[in-house]
Amino acid sequence: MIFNSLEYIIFLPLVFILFYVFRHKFRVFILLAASYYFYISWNPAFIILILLSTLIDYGAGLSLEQTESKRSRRLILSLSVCANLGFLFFFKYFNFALENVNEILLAVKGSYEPIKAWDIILPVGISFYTFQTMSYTIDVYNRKTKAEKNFAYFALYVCFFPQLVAGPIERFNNLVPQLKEKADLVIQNISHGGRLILYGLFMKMVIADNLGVFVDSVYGDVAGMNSLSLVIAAVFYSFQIYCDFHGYTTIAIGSAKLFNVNLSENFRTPYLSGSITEFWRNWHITLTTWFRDYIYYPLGGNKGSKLKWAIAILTVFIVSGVWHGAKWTFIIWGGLHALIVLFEKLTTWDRKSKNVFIRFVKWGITFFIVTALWVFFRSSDMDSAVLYFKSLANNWNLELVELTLEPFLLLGLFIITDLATRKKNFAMTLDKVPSVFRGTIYFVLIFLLLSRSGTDMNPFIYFQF
Amino acid sequence: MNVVKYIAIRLVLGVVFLFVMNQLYLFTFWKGDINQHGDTLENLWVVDTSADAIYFGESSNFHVDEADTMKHRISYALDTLVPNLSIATVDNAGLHAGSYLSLIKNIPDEMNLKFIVVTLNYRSFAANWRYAAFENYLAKSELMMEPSIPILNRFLVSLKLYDYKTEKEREDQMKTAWKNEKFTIPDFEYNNVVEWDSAMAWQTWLNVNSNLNEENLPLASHYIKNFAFSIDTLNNERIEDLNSIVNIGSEKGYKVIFNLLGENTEEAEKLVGKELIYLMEKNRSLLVNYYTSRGVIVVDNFYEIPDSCFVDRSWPTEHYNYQGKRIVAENIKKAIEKNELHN
Repeated sequence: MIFNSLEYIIFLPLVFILFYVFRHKFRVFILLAASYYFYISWNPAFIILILLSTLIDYGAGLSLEQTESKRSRRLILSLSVCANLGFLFFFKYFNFALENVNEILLAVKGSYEPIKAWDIILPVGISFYTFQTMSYTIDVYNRKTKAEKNFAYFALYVCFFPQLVAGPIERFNNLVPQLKEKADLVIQNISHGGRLILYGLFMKMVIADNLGVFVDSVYGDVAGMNSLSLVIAAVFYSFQIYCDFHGYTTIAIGSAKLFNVNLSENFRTPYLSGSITEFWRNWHITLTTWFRDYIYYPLGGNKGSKLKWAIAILTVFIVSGVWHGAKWTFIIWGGLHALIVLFEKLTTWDRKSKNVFIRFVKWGITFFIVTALWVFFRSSDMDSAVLYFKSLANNWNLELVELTLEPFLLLGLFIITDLATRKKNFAMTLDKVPSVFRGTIYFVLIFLLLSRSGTDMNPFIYFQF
Repeated sequence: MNVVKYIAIRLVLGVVFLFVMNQLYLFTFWKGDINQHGDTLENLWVVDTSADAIYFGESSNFHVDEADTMKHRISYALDTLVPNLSIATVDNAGLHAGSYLSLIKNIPDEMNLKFIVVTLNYRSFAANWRYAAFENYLAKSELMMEPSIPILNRFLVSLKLYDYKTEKEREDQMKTAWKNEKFTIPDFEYNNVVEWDSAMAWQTWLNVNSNLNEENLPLASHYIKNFAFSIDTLNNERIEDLNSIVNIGSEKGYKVIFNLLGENTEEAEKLVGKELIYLMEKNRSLLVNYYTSRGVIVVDNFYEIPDSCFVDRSWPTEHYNYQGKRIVAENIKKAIEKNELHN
């Protein structure tokens, strides 16, 4: 079940009604059952995996709290982290590792019968819920949070359906207290939740899916495209992935809001950033802060020598690349971001200038870099990414491509709405708008959603991670 | 109570919004969307509403042989053969009963039709066509053409709420049907497409059938995949759609003519054998009897088209040269006259 499906349009109001019909003490079970049903609708077999992960970290949390010995605590933490990363490695990286082992052995031995790849299906959302459960166990280990004794609440923390498959990656201390709090049926929650769901669907179905049509056609034949098409496709992809992922997150936040839960913000107009460092403060915020808290700080952060600090930055970004997928393109993408962040830090490029012109130039350069690096992210493999840049250089002409005005107009409309909501989210921004104007905005968004949504509906891009 | 009132007001406003949006959609994007996702409907829009009949066809109607001097459609030939009737044409490649049903639902109420001619393509009952990749487009078209609220149709299309399947899923469906949809031929060892086709593929038949050689073996295989089946009137979706067309005809008060196209039985027998003809005949007679008993005029061209009239020689189709098209048109004309629809 995906957010942009009829099933979800029926499922969400049903869960909403059931949630408020029952008394508070039963609501956790309603949400838990709904969340498991939501996950089972993808692939029933993988429910075992999520249950296993839940049991391991629930047990690890309780054991950590009851254990005083440092050595034992470290052992428990290691076992939990290894189990979580083990699942992740097997399902996500095993074939990638096998492929590379084959290549190395072939290079060393000359002739070699490669080991065949295994037929492994990636469980949807595994990268997200694994990181979420790991953050809990690490926080309990560091005594930043208390272990949860109520299994139902802990299980719900792992699988809360709005954010189960693609985040935001929530911390235990943010999500569980809200789930435990008695929720009253408040009009503002319905109104804000509904607005966010509408805006999220607009971003995904109207903007991302329409831009994706041209992007797919260009990336499907990179060698045959002229430079103008390649440039437009790159810019379109920047907005496609933003609207796709931001759209998903916004629907997730809106859905959770209906149950009186405020999920974490994941995007803050990242394309307005004046540096790559700033971009990462505003893009996929919950993942960035996860890496900051659980990798960057433990590696010393900016406290040690410059070399140590540089290694920490490189590690974070390369792990971030690997997190996105088992492909060299993601690793290169993460590595290049790391190098640019290091450059910015060493040259103080990331400091905000008061001069408007300089700020504009920095913004332009940042957008250019982010867009160029997305090429690695979007390409199916390194050869395709290299081919993209080669074609860009070799097919340099500005002949008009076969493209209607519609995606440009829709993109323009989105940019206006994104700018208008840069300080507060869409729902809160609408609070300050006169009701007639608000009605007009609803009308336009719903009209576009009904009539201009992409017809080649694709799953959310981040589901593959 | 406040919450209930809040939701109720919004639901009412939603209905009003929907009505206005639908009107706006019809005025702005609808025609463009139909052009993109359901272009066959455009053919119906240009039909003269004073026409006496509509001929619904697929590529057999408009495909022309390069060598032909006359490059007219079957429907055009028919129109000229019955000068006192005006017969309009609605056609497009790959259409089948489901597509015709969607179009027929959209026939303008102001039309005073005497009859409709619906092309009945034998191959369209086979798994090869029912589960073809092209079905995605046809299913999407059918949803776009559904006479309900156009803006909702468009939204349902964007949610892929039609019979959408990936190419792999379609291929799997087809292979499953070839294996599971059994048929019985007396004194014949194969009872499904997979077994029969495999035997062909292993070239064992080259020794059995002197008409087969390595060159025409793939064509023989196509004949099996396209023609070897047994129509199940309870589960074949084409039957369900054709039955709905018959019902609409009775409701609206016009006669329904099913134009069963001719197949190249000569070549089928030569390449595959009499067993295939046995199956084809069984299906043909089933279709003719089934629909005749339901008050439909069935024009049976099944054995009427000689081998020389078939244009495509590497794939079994119903693309005829003009002589073949003319035979079909004349048979329809005879049926019209026999049933006194021409007055």
